[in-house]
Amino acid sequence: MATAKKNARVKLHGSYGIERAEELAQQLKSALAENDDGSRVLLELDLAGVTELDLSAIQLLYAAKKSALAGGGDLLLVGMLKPALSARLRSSTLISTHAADGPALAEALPSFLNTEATR
Amino acid sequence: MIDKFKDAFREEAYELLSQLEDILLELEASPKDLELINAAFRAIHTIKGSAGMFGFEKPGRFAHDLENLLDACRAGKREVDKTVIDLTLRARDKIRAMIEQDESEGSFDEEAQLLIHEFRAACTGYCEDKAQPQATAPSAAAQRDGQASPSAAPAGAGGIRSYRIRLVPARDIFLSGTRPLKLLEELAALSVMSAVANFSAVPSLDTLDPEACYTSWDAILSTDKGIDAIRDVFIFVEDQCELSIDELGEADDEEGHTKKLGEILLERGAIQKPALDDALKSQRKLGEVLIDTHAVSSSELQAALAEQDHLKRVQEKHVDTGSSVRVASEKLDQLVDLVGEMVTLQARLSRTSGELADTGLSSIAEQLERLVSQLRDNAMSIRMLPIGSTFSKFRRVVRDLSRDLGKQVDLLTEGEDTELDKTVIERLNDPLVHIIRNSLDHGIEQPHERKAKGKPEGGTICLSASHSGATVEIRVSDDGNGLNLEAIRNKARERGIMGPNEELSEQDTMQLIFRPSFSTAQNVSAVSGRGVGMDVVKREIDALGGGVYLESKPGQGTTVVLSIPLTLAIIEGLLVRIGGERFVIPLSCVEACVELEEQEGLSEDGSALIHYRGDLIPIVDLRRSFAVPGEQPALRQVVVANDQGTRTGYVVDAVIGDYQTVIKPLGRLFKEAEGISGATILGDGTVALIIDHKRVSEAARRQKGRVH
Repeated sequence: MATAKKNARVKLHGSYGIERAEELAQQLKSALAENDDGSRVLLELDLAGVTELDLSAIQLLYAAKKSALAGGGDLLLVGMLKPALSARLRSSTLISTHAADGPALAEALPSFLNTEATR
Repeated sequence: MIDKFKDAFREEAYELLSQLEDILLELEASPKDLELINAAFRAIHTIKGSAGMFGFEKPGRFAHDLENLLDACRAGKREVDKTVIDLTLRARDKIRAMIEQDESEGSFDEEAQLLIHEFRAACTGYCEDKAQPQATAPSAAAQRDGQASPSAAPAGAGGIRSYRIRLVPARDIFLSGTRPLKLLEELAALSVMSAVANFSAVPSLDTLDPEACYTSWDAILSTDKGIDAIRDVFIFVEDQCELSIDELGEADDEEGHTKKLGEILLERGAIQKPALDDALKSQRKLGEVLIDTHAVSSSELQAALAEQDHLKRVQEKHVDTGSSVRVASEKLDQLVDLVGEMVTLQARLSRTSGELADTGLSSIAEQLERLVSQLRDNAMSIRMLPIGSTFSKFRRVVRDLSRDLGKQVDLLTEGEDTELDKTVIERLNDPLVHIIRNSLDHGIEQPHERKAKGKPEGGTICLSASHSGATVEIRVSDDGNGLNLEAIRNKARERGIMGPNEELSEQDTMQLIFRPSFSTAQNVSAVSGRGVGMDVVKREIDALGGGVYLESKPGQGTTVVLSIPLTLAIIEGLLVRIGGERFVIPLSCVEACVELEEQEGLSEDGSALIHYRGDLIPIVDLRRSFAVPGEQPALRQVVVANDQGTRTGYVVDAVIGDYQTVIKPLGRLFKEAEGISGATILGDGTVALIIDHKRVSEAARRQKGRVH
């Protein structure tokens, strides 16, 4: 049976620090969990409303990407980024160039696009 | 190859030694200045270090003892007094001599031994001989006080070091409230840093603990603050992370080579040599191969690439800020010659394209003209150096000589940043030494004589440089006794240069001192009196195409004025036409071009005054001055030229426009031709004379004086 393709979109809002790590993990899990029926999930993570991403949140992006790829799907970063978010990530040296939107961020995050599927 | 390094070392050492000299002389004036003591120490330390590296073991050993002495001063154990300065200056000369004579090893000669003995004596009771004084790390307190720490700059350039940092935070680091990103931010603020976070340890969502830290970092950091400053950032998290900080070797060697990716990966331990060699065998990009064959993880590769990139950037920055390229001056001369030829050729092109009236061609010619003029400015500016470096050399001359002569003399300098052609600066050195020695020996009197005359006991010699149109004027003035004109005349009569009843003007009399072996000194001293010096001055300055003038007031002092052409082989000029002749007026002095109204007709001798911006300025009819034949047009132009605030107008038939002028010297025959400083070849192959604006305007002013 050909696997159906399913698009999911999750909008993130506000500041994601360590205190919201658990919440974000659950949110991402449930978005990806729908692939249990075998369909591939293309998860679009809309970062337009995000004011801050802590290291714990960034780690979750990688983890979610790995899981999505393992399910045959993918995770994409979308939405225009708040300039402050990009600047913040830059000053903490996570990215080395300015990222205007989600795809740019995905490119700037080290090895994010080369992430390999992990179960 | 070795010789090349030795030469480089020599050059560097000479530079450092002359810096050291300056520092010491300054230190003599303000012996408490810790910055200066530190600077002196660093200079010696660097020489010592690099001497050892390049096989100059002997000067290195010698410098070591000197270093101990300075170290004691630096640590405040010993005062910087005359002994220290004298010893260090003498030692500096000795080190230079050793390097010059290529004394790389062997035992010290007597002089060196004596000096070492003296250092040790000067040190006794103040410092213990430390085998490795460079190991005396400055206290943290000293660093906080903002003092430059010598250990942070060991023999390296600028003291900027690069460090490779690997940071692996503990899994539970978040729980203690530590935010690793903050640390990174702090680290980045220290310096130039490239950090790559490694997320490869992050598991998939199912197995991940959202509150654990899986990330590690590889960073390259370049800073002049030293490794301790880096460690300070991690001081509170040391037990919560694995941290390794390695200092990297110099990022660049002589050739400006940057490390290859493979080398970096090997150094980082990301790959083993056999695997790397395998990968290198394929003809594709190393990075791609390594990833494809899973020899290196992509995060390892990114980290290595970031390191490579970082080192490259730091190196470039380093080149930007500090260092420079050494080029043989003949190469520069060739460049300037070629540019000169090109300027002439370009003028021909512009002319030809003008005649052809081809718009396409003339637009190319115009573009080329702009480019060539930029190229010319660039080539000329490369050769220009501030004269200050030469001036500072004389401080030592004055200091040593005045001590030998038992006089107190201060050297003041002014206009050090006046720029002159490099070759001119080099050739000015000898004449200036002679003039200064002369001033010191004959000009400035002994302290008791000065006191008797009501002058301050200490004499002053002032060395100043300033631009004056197309020339640079260097003045050496002393406040000594002035020239004894009567003594000069007597000597000249005695030697038969002057007839017994002949009278000479003041300036002519003074010029006599430039004659070979002419001296009025009663005694020949070690310093001067043989009558050789001023003769050398005159010859050398003549050779440069400049002039020497004297100003002297009895009892008040003498000033020697050297007027040196900028020897800009190429200048920007204004091309003008008079009859069938063309002339060039240096554009640097041209202020305006105005029409000459007929009623402002010229007087009989070709001079007159015109109104210009509410000022009356003298005008010179060049047609008359140069006796150009032909009909005088009804409407003529006045080129208003400005020489240090005094304006002169030149009446010409027409102004053609600006012209890049390659100065060609006139032959010996025209040496005395007044009002002309050279010639240039125009685009059509004819010659245009360059007007010596300074002389002509002076003559005009003298006439103006007569008119009034």
